[in-house]
Amino acid sequence: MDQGTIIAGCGVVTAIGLDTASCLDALSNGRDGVGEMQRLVSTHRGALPVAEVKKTNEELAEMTGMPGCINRTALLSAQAALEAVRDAGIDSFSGFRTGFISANTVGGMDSTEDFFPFYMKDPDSGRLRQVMHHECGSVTDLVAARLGIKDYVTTISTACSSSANAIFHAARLIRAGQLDIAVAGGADALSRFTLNGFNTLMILDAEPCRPFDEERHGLNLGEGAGYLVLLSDEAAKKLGTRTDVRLTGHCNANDAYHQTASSPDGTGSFMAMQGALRMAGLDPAQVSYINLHGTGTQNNDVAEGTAIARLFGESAPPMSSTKSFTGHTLGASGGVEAVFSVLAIRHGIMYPNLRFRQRMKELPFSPLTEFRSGQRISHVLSNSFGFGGNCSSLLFSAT
Amino acid sequence: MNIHIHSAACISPGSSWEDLHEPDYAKVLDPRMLRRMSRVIKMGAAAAMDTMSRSESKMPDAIIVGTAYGCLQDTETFLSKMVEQQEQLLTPTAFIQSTHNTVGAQVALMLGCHGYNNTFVHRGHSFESALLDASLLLDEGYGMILAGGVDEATDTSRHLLHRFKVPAGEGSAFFTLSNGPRPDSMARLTGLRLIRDAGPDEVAAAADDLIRSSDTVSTPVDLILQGGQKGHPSGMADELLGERYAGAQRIAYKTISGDHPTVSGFALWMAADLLHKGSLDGKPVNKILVHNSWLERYTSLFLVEHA
Repeated sequence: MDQGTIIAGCGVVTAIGLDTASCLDALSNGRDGVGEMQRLVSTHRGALPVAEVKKTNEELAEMTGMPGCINRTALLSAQAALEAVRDAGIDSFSGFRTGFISANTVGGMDSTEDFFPFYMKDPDSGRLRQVMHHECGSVTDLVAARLGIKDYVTTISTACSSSANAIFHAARLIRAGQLDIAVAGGADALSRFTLNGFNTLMILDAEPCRPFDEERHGLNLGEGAGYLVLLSDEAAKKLGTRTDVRLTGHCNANDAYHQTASSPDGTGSFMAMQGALRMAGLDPAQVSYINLHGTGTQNNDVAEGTAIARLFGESAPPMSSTKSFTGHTLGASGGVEAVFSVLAIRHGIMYPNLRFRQRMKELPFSPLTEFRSGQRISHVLSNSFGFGGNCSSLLFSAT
Repeated sequence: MNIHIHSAACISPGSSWEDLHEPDYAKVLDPRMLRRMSRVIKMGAAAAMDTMSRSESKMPDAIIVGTAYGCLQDTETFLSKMVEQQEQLLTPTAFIQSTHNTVGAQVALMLGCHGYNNTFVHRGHSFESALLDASLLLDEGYGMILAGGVDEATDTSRHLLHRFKVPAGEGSAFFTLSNGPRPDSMARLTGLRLIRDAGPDEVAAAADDLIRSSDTVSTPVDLILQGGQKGHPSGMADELLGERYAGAQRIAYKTISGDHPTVSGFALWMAADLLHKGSLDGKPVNKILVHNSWLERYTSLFLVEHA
């Protein structure tokens, strides 16, 4: 069993901050990003709270050096991916086989949905520029070009587990000796399409969400992006990067129960977590902290919680859902929460699960309610469970 | 690389290649599930279930799908309703089915498969990324993988792609893959290359390298499946390859399958089928080079050999 893949850098942008420093500041001070819709134009404004990144597309374009007219998913992706590369201290990929493995679920939908009403009136109208980057893969290509990465570029889309899958696809490629460096993670921007889609499923909370609470009423949609820079040991040595955190375990399992609902006993979740632990050669008792998928829906939280109870028994570690801060960033959530998990190890911290009041009757544990620092964090498990039964867990370890 | 292709199934609207056709879906898929499936899901699921029916192993260890456009019809249905009804009184079905991983998820549901499940959505490299992922898993010890590609065309996508001057074909192809030989193997995938923004010379050099790296370097390529576009750099790449492997027969497969982002799945199906038969027009077929190109940006090369 190898020691895992080095994580040399991280980058993130969410409703609580434009980079890792500002997100960490918000996380440690209990400042969430859920509130009334400001930027997204929708008839649900005022009725459904969301967690928006507090910048316009024009501002994001300026911050990232991307063209101003492209879709928001690409802009958010660029913001976080660029930070990850800076954080890793990499000035140039020259001489290294480098990949960009990104994920999203909406692609350029935030732009496409503005085009569509024109198309519906007249199929020859509407500006093609608004749909030319509709495809998930097109968004990735835009950011790969900005990063200057061309050896291997691909996109994964498996609903809420998308960017977790991207991260360990990258790790696989490095372990197999096919890449030296990979920037991996994902992004998603808020759109009317997803807001309305989730609304029809009746799993949106009209108030700020309460993950893992007995009285939870659903999720809040968020947006953002999170990326890691993964390196082979050799590349890390040559570049002189940090080597303090590694991805030591990962697993992708399918619930195979229902297109949108999780099985009551959390089969897929259980298998994903167990598989990640097995790969790392760890006993459940060795996990320091779990960053929950914890969307706040009736279904996810009981399925995930049940799976954790089955796997960890009496020794469930501290756990929390940072979606109580950032909302559910969909395709970005695996990447965003991977960044938070890596930072937990780096800084010896654990995050609170905001707005928790009452333990779920099905579970023998409650999430953390306050921010903790000065901790010795050895292993963090990060869960991402999505529609289509796609369940993925990542295990990060202190080297 | 030495990946065994046990079984393969393909759905393509092209009607001029032997027994290619859109099947009676009710024969391959559960009618109760069929009722709610949109066309792209039917195409993907039917090809997947058909290839599984001809595989001796009935449960894959992993399911990996490549699709560039995902579920266009459902996306459009939900978008249209959202616009028409001004975001009011919408229903969930189309939204649920619109996510890109729906084909992979439905196949997992039908098979009751809890194994690894992934969906790649990278334009003209979607199917290739799925194959690459499959090869990584097989190297790690996975036994059998169900992998495929699917893309659909709708009235809207055809119209919009026409405005962009991009081909608007559709089809699906699924394969069961493993690392070890099985009695029913059709062919072996012995090389895979994904190249971005490559000119004809780079493509020819990559093909050379691919063939040189294989175990059967001394065996000549006897068939080239050409997926470039005449009058474009990819067409020149086809010609260069034709000159380089002068003894090989050639088929411009897109005249049969049409063109779409995951059409290299069709090409792999065709290669596996021909290798299984062993000959074409009376001449032996043992080693096939597949060249695919999409939008003059996404190039892929497969080396496919007899089992």
